[in-house]
Amino acid sequence: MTQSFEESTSPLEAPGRFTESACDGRVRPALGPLPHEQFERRALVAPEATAVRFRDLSLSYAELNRRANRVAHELSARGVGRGARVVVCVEPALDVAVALLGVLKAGAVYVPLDPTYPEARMRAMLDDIEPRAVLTQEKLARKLPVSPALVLPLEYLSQALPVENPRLPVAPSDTAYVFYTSGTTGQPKGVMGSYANLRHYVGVAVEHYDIDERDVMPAIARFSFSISLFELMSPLVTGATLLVLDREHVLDAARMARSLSEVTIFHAGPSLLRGLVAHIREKYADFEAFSRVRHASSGGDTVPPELLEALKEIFANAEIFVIYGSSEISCMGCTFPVPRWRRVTRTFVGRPFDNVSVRVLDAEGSVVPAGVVGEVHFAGEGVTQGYLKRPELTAERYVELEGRRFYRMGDRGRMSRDGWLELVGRTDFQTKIRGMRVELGEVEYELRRAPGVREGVVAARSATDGEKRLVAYVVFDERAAGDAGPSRMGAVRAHLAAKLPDYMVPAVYVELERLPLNENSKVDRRALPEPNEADLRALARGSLRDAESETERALAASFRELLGLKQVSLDDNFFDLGGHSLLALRLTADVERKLGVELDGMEVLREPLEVLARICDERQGRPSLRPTAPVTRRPLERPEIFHFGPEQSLYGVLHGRALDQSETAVLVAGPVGHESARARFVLNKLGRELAREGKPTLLFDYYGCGDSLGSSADADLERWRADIRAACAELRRRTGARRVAALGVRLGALLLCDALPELDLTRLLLWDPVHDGVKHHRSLARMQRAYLKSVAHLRFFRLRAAKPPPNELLGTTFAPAALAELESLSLAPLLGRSSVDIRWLATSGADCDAALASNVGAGIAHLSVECLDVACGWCDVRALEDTIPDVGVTSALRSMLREPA
Amino acid sequence: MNERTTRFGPEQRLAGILTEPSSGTARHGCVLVSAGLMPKAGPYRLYTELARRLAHEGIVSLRFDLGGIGESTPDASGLPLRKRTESEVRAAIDHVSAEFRLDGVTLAGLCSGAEDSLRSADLDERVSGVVMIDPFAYRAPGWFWRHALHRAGRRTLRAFGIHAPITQPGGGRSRVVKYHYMEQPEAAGILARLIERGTRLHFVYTAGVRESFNHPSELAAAFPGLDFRDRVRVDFLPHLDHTQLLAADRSTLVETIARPLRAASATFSAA
Repeated sequence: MTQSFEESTSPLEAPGRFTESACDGRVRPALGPLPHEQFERRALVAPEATAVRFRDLSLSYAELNRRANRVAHELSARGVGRGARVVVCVEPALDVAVALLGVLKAGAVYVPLDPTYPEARMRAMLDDIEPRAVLTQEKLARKLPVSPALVLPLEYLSQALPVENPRLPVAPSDTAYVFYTSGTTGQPKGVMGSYANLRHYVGVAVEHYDIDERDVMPAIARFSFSISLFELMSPLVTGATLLVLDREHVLDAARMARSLSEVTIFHAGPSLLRGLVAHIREKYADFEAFSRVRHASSGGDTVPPELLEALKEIFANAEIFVIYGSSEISCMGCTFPVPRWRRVTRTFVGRPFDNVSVRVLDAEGSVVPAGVVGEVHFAGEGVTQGYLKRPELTAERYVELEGRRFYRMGDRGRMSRDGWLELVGRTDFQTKIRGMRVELGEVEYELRRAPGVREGVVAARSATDGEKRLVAYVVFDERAAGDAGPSRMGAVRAHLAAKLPDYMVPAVYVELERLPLNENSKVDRRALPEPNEADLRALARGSLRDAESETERALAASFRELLGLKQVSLDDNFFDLGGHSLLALRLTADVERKLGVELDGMEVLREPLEVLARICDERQGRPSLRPTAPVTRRPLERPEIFHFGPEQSLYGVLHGRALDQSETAVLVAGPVGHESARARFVLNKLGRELAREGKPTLLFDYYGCGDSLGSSADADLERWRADIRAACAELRRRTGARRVAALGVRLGALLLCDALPELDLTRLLLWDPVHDGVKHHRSLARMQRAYLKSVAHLRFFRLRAAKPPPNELLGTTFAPAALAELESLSLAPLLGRSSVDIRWLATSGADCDAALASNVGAGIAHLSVECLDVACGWCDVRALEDTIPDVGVTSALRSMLREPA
Repeated sequence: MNERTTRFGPEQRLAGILTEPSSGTARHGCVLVSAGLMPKAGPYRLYTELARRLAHEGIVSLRFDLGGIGESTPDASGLPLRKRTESEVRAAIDHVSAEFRLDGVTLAGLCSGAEDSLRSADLDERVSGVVMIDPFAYRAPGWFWRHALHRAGRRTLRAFGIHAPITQPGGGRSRVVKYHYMEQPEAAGILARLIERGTRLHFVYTAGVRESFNHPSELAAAFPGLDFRDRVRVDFLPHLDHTQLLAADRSTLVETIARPLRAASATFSAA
């Protein structure tokens, strides 16, 4: 049986169990001379060794050093030194190494500029850079929108310039380079790194990946990306050989594959690697040609686990790594050594490099507990100086914490208890769907894990009704077995529905041959196509059957109008086509206006258009034109029902069964009284969904409530706490699960917290818990008074009979002792009695909103509060008899439960 | 009284609770048909209390969740909701009849459960009685002046602050689930057939249907062509609200239903 990595022991030395999302790399002294000085030493030690190759050309270390020295002397002669920005605008050639080393030796600032950029962008960047010199090639010199006086073609360097090492003054704190990265506003921003940053960058890479003079490393990335420094400098400071490749070469999979047969170490982005892997698998009978490769790494974008598995297969002798970082932290933040003996199933990016610290923080800047999602921050020697001429942005992104300077990555991640960082998305990829926050990266993460999916991205698109819907763009792996067409896409949707909260499941699916890439070989989200009719119909069953009768046509028109479609079929279900509960209300109103018939939401939820039309016809008293044709749907798995506990007095409902003891089972301590009936629908739905995720879930009724035996008047709170303990024991007995998480709802949450020390839970979720017994009692009494006043006219002449005893509250008769104890209970002191991880879901309109929840939980480190902007109407007398629909609650609870503790 | 969980119906997908008398052999059974999205315990446990009261009278009962509600899984056949409900009630009758040797079965329900009971009784000759709490009601002559009097009284009470209706913001809450009462011609047809068949029909009205029903005589007035004979009993409890929030109200309702059922059960036993 294949074991996943996360189930295994750590492949690196275990740093101990982490309770908080904070991990520090080893602390090492500064790593020796500056990189260009290390290169000079190599030129002294092995002058004839090949330093750099490009096509049939090459330079030895001695020759490269001489040429670089000439550049440095020329710059110095022009007065270009410390702090002066020198643009290097060259096409791939030997010149790139000459220019880079020349600038560093001059103590100046290396600023690469891609010659393929449009002139306007190039001009804007040059205006921002204000270069003191521009190193380029003769063929490019005239194209550059810059004063000719600044331009220095490398071919025209005087041979008379000195070739000795210049020994120009440079301090580690001097700015060494500026790399431009894309900004969310569309304006590129320059990241300034110091010589110390550069020394750290190259130093940790060389040391961690053990690069030496035997290595051959290609420069695959564009020179304008900061990761290019890894490729350019790592070989040159270790005596290895740098292999420069031109862009056509890099983008030609066949040529790249041939090149990889002669290198020993390489790094490439996941998009490029996917194409390479596909080519190699198709064209190579075996992978012997790549046996020289001893290191392959990827990064810069999410590296899917299946790609890592493919790299392991092709580069059998290589260590595979994921590298995680950004220009702002000198690229080397974390690295993940992909284990060969375990299958990788998640997007780990590993642990920090030496002299690097990583923290996962919540919105308030506090370190979150291990396993909890937050924003990733880095500190250490790699953290760069900031953005060129952008002090406000620098202050926003580089923040002071724990007395240290941290950079906010903008990535959402979580740390395992072993200190492994996993990415789950971007903070700036958040959107709101029907008022609920959706992290697109999280949806993409699951989309890429769906069966047959090679690549996938998700975008939020506005439909004709102005509502935003999620659109999934999918590239299928053609080698994967399985059907084509709707069923394949249906499988993707089914996978997402099983893994994600329903509001996060994309409504529309678009199949693409490949994802559009930008110049950085990253997915170009702006180039993703708008979904068309065929995409919207991708999930529809079978072929299109047109509406025929008047009723069918009227309903079809409503479907089209509300969903923004051009065509609908008789087989279409409103929800399958992207409808949701709010739209369903509009549909029922629309149908009532057009046909004078009221449909109910359950019918809209369950029935295809054809059946809805039949219902309308029946309600209008018209015979349907069509015979009854059953439409088969997948039945839901039925839960087990039973009595258990003392004298078999408690009614229990078990969704799913656990077979694996490592799985987590879930106990639901529901509300008491009328709230229990209101929440039954949504809690059963939650149970079904959790069971589908492999988490068996037990719901039960307290003694004297629902379908349990007895009367509530005979139960005190201790009896109900005992019921929770009995239910927990029953859940463990029936499922064999050792790990139990619990969900407490309203008064059930308060009772659950009171019983907490005896339950041995792995996690506790609270959904709108009663936080103060006195207030809850008063709230019930207030609602009851309001209700009875509204029906007082019914019993005007029976006022005495209408006045219920004080222990009867909203349909539940409490034992007097129970009410007395309820008034003595308060949630806050109970929360601190256990170290179990507690998540609190606060909906709007409850008696305890998110702000109050935060106050109640203040000072409890293992508690976090999530807010859901929906009203469940717990304290609303008008909602007394309403079933709580699933307004995102099950989705939120599943998410909170899914994040590992 | 004994209670036990049970599963029945196609693929055992329907979930219910059987409540039996603790002693003696039950000869009469009652199937409690759930209302709307309400689980089998009923509003404020009304069905639970009724089932236990009936057990005390020697009547076995089955309360169960309709497909897609509570612990019953939905019917995957794609049939319209009404057809599915009818087949599920029939499965409940099958089940209780198979578990016990019964002389008769009564169907009982509140609101939509009442009308589902009536329709199912029409389709199944094993049903000897139907108890309906707040089913359909159609305004008949006399309703208007009684209603006018009632409104005047209500307004007077409001003026004195005794009565304060629960206000609905924005002109009323939007509910995904709305209930439609049975059309009058359909009701008339079913009633005629059931009376002809000798089925006992017990109508219990509360103030929940006051907008259409405000006097016990109104039922007969709404169906002038029907001879109710001694087969139809009407109880009007105008001081009870639709879902009986108060324990005393539920107790009144339970007694109102249980007594005639006990009498009917005794008749069967004697026979």
